[in-house]
Amino acid sequence: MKLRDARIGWRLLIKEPGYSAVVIVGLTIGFAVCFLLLGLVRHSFSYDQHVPGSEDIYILKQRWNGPGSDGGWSQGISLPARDGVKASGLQVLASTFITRKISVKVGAQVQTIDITVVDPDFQKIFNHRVVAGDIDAALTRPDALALTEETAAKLFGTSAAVGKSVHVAGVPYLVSAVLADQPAATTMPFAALTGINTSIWPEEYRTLVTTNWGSSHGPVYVKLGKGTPPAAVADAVRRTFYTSPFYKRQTSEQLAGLAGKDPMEFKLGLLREAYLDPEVRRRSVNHGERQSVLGLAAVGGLLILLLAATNYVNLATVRTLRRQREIAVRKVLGASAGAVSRQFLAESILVCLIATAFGLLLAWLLLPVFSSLVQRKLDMLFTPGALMASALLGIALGIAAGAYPTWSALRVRATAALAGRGNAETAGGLWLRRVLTVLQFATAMGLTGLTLAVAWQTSYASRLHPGFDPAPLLLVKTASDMRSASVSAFRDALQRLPGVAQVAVSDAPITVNRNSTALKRDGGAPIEISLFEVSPEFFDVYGMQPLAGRMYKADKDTVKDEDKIVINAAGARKFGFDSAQAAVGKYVGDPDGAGTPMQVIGVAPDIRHRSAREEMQATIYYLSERTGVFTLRTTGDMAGIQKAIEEMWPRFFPNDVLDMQRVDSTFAENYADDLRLAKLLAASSVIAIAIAAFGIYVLSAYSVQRRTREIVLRKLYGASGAAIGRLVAREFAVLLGAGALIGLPVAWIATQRYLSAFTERAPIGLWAIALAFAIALAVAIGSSLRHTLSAVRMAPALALRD
Amino acid sequence: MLKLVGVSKIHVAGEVQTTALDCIDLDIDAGEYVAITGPSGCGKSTLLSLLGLLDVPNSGEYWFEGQNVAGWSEAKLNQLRRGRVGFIFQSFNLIEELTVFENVELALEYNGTPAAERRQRVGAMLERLGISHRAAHHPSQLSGGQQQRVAIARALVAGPAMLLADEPTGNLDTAHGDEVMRLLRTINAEGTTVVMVTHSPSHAAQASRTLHLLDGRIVIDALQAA
Repeated sequence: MKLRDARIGWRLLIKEPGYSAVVIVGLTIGFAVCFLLLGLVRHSFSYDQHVPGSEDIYILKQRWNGPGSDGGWSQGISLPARDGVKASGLQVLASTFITRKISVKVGAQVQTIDITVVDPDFQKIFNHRVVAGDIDAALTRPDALALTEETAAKLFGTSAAVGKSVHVAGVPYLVSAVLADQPAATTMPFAALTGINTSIWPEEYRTLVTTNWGSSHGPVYVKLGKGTPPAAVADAVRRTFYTSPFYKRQTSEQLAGLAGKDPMEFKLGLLREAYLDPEVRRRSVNHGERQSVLGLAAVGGLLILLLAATNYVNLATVRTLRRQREIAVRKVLGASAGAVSRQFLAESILVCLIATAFGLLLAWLLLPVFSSLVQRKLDMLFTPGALMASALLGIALGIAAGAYPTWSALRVRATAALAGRGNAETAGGLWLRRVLTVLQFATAMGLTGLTLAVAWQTSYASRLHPGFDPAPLLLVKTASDMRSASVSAFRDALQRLPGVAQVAVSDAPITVNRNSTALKRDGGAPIEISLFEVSPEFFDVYGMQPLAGRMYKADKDTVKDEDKIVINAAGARKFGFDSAQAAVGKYVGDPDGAGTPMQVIGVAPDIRHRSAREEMQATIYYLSERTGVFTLRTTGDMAGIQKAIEEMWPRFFPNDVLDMQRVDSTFAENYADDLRLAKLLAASSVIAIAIAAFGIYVLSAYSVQRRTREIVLRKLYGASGAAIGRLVAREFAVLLGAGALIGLPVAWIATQRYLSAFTERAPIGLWAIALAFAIALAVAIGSSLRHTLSAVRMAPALALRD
Repeated sequence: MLKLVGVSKIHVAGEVQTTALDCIDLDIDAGEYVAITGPSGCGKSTLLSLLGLLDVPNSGEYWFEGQNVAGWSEAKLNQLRRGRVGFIFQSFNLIEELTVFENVELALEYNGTPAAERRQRVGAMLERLGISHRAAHHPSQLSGGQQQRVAIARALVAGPAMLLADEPTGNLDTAHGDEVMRLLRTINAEGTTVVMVTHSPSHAAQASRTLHLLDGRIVIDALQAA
């Protein structure tokens, strides 16, 4: 490759700035998208690689086999399983990792942070870098904690926080250590660490977490000594599980329903593979889907670049055809095939390297938006290695994209070209480029169709009626429950606020209904049913009328009436009652007969606790004092009420951060992932459409150039402008039609697959793909208009002169 | 120098075959000045292409400097042609993206002449043809006559044994055309074999030998009076 070759390439770019801009902009967009997507893929495969000795560190996985289980493995573990690991007698280290949000007070300022409770072995397993202080003290003393540098700076304005105190619920805690911040690619992010003996955990919560096999709270990490097989650890956990009260409570009927499986199973997975573990189905910030990541690699690395490079191939081929005389002269003067190839590849590499540079700049500008869309902090994207790899990719792309135009140049026959009988490209080559353009259209239409469907379903789902009117309802969460005097007093104060009609309390926000238990009715089989603890005012506040029997009433029921339950219609069906009325007055209880039976006093209509992805849950509502989430039915100015609550909050909870939101906004949170997906797809669609638009622009230029003589002759023989327009448009119509035949069925299938995850689906018929086709058609018309008009206006005398 | 024995060339376009040259026998000695004339489509340019090693015959033998090149590959012909044959075209065929200097230099670049020697030889050739003041210009900034002089410079700079000219005055006015013809005579006088295709009887008359083609055959092969 010679400097002269690149110089000529540069002159060609300058000579035709319009075409150059089209190609470079297309490649720039393609490269930026590719860089970001491949960066995300690289990020996904780098999780936990920074942990020293990670080849010996495992994460305990747990699978529930009970009714209602999805059969997937979870990295959230019942904490007694950790005790099983420790009691195994094997050479292992084990630590839990349970994170909760807490309010901390430093001086007069109250802030929310995540506090992670771990075992003292945690530091021995992970060997996090200690910036200052004593990490052992932080993980063993109940009144101590460790902060990361970032958290220390957030709370104290400096990372030199060792020896200072924070207050949690009015109790001082000593900052014993400051730890270095972790890289973003970690499955165990933490802001603050404290030991399992911490007094930050309320005793009731500690008891629940440490003794209850029936609830999962966070991962358990295990470091194996040399020669310790992972299966032996899982066996030890299983043996411990068999001795647990949870296992012993299982009835023979329940165990028989598991077809020989345990109610819970355990296994170990490597920490380094935890992020992309395909057995773990839950999507979260700490877990990625291998399929999605690899899909991104395929789409990002291949398709987007291929589509963008197609435009370069098209344009460069057009130029090559125009440059046949030049190529012929070079050949006549003795240019070898190598010299011609070097010239054309140099031009291609130059274009791709320019696009690479602009692409990197664009990626850098788009990084904040992209990070937000994929919810990942991509802090290691612009490393020297990545920049070097980008340059190499640019060169490789230049060679790949330049290969076809170079081949076209090599095929130029000097004698024919110099005699003005330029040989056009082969039919095969022309078809190849048409196929690539069809692929561009298929992708653009497919993505657009899917985007429209996802966006509409998201809008439809978030507008679904939840079974009550959320508009006048306001949610206020406290860190405790009604057994606390301050919470009770707060309830009374809320009740007295002007504009507040009634106040109810529940154990969780209406959209968070994750607790469940096994119950059975007399003569029925055990069923898994959701639990929702409420105050007597709950149904009045939510404006729900009974389908049968009655709802709780403040003047008839008290929170002590724990033996009276209300079930919803789905619950009545699941218990096997013939009708809502048939359920009223019946008793349900634990499958093993323990505890007091509870009488169904009424059947409530189904309300949407979860998203439209899930069926209406069978739910029982029961009265309880363990409730600390307030729902206010307002009649006055909502903003005024919120302001009044903000003002009174510190009087009741001086150490806690106020968490308040409108109930209707909590439903939107259920679809935050869908909204992000819709935005990501919309961005991809716009890019695909832009690339396709560039593609059709270039192809139309080529088409008109290739058919100049034909167009001129037709005009000589009287063809009208419209006839010429139809002639040019016909080619694109065929390409568009072929693109639609490929892209739209794929979009339809993808839409159906996406919708299949929902139980409530928007009535999406054919309009989404029809609209996608219409958009592509408009883009095709717009992009080819310039050259179609130039064909219509072509002066025969001028064209025939050549 | 050149010898064609029973050479035929057939152009194939789809299912149509056109005989461009029909069993041609021809000898050209070193130092000759040959003009090829004939009506359009008689095979003049095809013959020139064969002589210049740009194409190969379908049948017959073509001896170039003692080697039968019939059936040679394009790469091999390319190698043989490099530096031995210079070309001048009716439409100049200069590369617009290159300057005058770079256009002329191209002929030396492909035969591996070192850069310093290239600069020296190109400079001298431009000087000889009176266009050194235009060295940094691009072809479109020159008149037709100047462009043809650049093309001649490019054809001569490698010191070819044979110069092939295809209608070299076809795009020039009379004054510039006469100037080009003077140049060709000078070049031939210096020992370079010149083969020129022309429609102009007066220009053909300046050659030492005239070939008249009709329907792919040489119908007249006449020596001119000196």
